[in-house]
Amino acid sequence: MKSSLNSGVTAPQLYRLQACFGLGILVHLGNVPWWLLLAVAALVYWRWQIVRASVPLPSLFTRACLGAVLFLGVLAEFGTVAGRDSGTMLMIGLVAIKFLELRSTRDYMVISFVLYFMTLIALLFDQSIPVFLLVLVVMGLITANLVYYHSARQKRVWLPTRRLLRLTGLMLIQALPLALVLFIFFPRVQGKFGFNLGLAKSGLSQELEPGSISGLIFDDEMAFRVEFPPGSAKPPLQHMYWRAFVLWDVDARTNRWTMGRVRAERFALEGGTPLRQTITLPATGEKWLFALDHPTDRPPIEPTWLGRLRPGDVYEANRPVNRKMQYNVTSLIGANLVAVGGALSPDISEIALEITNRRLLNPRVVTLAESFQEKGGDAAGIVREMLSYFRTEGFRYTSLPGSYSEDMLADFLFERKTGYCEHYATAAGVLLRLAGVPSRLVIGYQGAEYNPYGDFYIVKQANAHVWVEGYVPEEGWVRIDPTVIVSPARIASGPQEVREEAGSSLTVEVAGQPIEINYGDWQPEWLEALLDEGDLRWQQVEEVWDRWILSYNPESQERLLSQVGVQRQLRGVVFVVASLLVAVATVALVWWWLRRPEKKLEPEQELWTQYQRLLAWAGVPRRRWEGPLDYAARVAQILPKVGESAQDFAETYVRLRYAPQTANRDAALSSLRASLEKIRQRLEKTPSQVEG
Amino acid sequence: MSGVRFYATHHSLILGLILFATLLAAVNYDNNLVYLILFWLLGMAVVSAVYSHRNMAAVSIKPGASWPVFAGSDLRFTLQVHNGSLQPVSALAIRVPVNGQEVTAFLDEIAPGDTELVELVTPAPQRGLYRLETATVESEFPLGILGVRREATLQQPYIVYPELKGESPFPDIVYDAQDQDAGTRSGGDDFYGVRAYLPGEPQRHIDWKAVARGMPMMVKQFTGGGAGRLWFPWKALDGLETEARLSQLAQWIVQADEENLFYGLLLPGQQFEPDKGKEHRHLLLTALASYQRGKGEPT
Repeated sequence: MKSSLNSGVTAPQLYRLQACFGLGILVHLGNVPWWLLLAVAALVYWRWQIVRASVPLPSLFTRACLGAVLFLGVLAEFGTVAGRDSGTMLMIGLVAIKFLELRSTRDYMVISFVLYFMTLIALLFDQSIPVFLLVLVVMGLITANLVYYHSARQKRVWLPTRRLLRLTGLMLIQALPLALVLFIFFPRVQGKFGFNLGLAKSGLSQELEPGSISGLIFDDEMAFRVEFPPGSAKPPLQHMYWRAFVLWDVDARTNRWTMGRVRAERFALEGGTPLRQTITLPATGEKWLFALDHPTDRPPIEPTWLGRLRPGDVYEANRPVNRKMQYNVTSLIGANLVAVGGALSPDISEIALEITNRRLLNPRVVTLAESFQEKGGDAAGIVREMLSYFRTEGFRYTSLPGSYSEDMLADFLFERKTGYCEHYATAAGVLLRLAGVPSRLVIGYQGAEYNPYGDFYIVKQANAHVWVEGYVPEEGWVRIDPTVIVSPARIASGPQEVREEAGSSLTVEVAGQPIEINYGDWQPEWLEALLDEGDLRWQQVEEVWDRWILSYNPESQERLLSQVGVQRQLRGVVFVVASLLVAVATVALVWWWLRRPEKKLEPEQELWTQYQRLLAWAGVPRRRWEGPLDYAARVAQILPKVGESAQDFAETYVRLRYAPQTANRDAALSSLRASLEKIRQRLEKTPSQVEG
Repeated sequence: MSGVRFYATHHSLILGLILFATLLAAVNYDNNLVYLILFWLLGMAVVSAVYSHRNMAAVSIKPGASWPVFAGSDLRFTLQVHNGSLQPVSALAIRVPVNGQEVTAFLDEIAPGDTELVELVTPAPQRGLYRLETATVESEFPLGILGVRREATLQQPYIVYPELKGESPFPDIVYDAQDQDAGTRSGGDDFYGVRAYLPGEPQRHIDWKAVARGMPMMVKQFTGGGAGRLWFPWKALDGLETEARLSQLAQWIVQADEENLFYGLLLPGQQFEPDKGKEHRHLLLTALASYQRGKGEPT
């Protein structure tokens, strides 16, 4: 292999590469700690000063020390040097240190290529469209810089010419077909669940305490997307309860509900109409799989390897979901979840009635529960009593109920009487247990937003909800949602109203008296409509993006291949063949593209070319050093028939081409054409005969 | 020009490593977008190969000029690099092997249809008659991962005169008894008239200004010769090595030329009549350069 051409890096080249580095970091802004950014900025500045002030480059020892410091910093921050986040940090730091070593072409190329890698791993953090586009732009700029580096070594110009930018753009576009074919046919490894991306988990958390759910009310991020088969009977939005997981244990001291460990629960779903849903779940890093009340395992979830139905009638994935997934699940709408055998097993019953640290409960709460028990009689009655308590005792529903004291339950039930769904649910759960009704909390989402453009529903984090299920003999686990009682609007129209409410008033205590201050989060109506519309459209774009690009997985590939009629075993062969075909086609197309004439020749030069070609065909090609007149003279010797016309042509051509001005260009041009025509005729009449 | 040949650069290895790492990341994290970018980079590498080829396809090298120099100084020569295509050509490196070493020159860009002159400078080898055999043009445009190379046959001759060395004064002037009477010996520098130019004569004395005025070609005639002729004989330098003799002879020739004298050369087996002027100087120096050297010795 040959050593590289030229060496040495000029200042503008360095600055441009540093700019590319800066852009690459820009893509990673949320992914790396601020101190790293500061350190990198310092190193970049140092390198800049080295050029400006002609300071010598730091020694190997210095650089090694810097590298060691970097390693320690990464270890301190992440505890490891492997893995996505730590690896990214390490890479950024190492590139900054490498800049201090930048001397030759080889260093320049190494940095450029590592910048490619550094930029694209931003996609491991975020696969949304904006990030992807940004990554593309930055990679394009790095490429343009490379092209410029290899075409204009001597120039000390800052920005590449338009021609080179256009060239880079062209190359990228021309590479796209091959990229797409490779993408579609490259045999995919079966990485079903994906690997832990070190995600920052958002959305639901596995424990419930006041604030867990209400904290999500302003979060408009999509929790998941649902599509129903065409023509299916979809329940109205207010009846859409999405199950995520069940909380069984409560601790009276902290008023916190947790999942607990219920190993088995034998139940059966009775009645209900089956409804199939196709759910697209982003990477959550958690195991829960959402489905409408009540999911069933006949038919089981598709794909079957994804997860199983667990106690509490929730689907749980076998491994945490680290990749955007799509699955099909069937739910029985309106079914009853009845324990097999009619009654709850003793174990379940015990768990569903237990309250840890029961003695810490406020006696008033216990008394209240007992009053329900007295007045209600059986389980159904107790539930009724409780709900009527909520309905008639002036309870309010708000997302900003203010902070509660230690004794939240009593405060909520007797004093403040304002709260969000978690307050109601936790209170109801405790009350029911105290009254002897086995209960559990179900966390999930309620409602959805319909997108007419794509005919799908979006469930946002703001739809997060928690409700209670109490066990009523003969009816099974019954859904009890106090929120319906207290704020039918919340259920009917979604969190919007509650949000608006939350944003518009503030309760302040002045001299012991609560005063409500109203302030508007006012938006003009047309803007709101516009934003909503934009939101819907964007959801549609993201849905297409998901479906065609992000979710393309081994199953999709198999489906595609089988549609085309290719068996699974031939995957590798198809890949190689398709890639080679498209590669060859790409090369041919680009070749053809580069042959396109860009510059139009002067008319006399075109005629001159035709003249030469014609005479070459006749057997007298022009020698390279021959001028037009000498050439014509030689032609006259060898082909006497065309000699005169050839010499006429040559003289006129020389006059036209080399004289300072020609009075009458058009006359000269037509004379050229006439001579050429005469030559053509003469040559056609006589077969060419080259003498000598 | 030979055909276009590809070679992989060191940098292609680095890119290969990076692409492999990207593949690992894509498979490990099962990330479709990373797959897409990976394949896009691959595609671009393939496409860039075509651009590399097209860049070089219409490039040709033709011999330029070379100037005879004395051994011990720098050899300068030029090459013509021609871009025959309709697109600009970028980033060429021209390498010429001279005297066992390689001289390199760089061209950033050649406009369509243009010919650029590249100048190469290298220390001159020993005295002799040489030829530049080949030149290689290389380019790593556009991405630096793939190089293309073409070779051209030059056969461009150049001459290295012997090194100038020697302190001896001129040998004695030989006065030619025969010509002293005429006084009209041609070859002096006193102008005394014109006559018609005879085809085949050296063109040194043609009155060009008259030709520009439209007159036929006339030769100016001078007199004033007979001042004596200087002979530089080989035999006069007995006791010196061959190279030293040649160096001294060269020194005399250069001095005589500077003083505008007539001088001739006597070498074993060769004789050069006294004359003067640039051509005469070159002729004699070349004879010295090629003394006992095979003609056209390659570099």
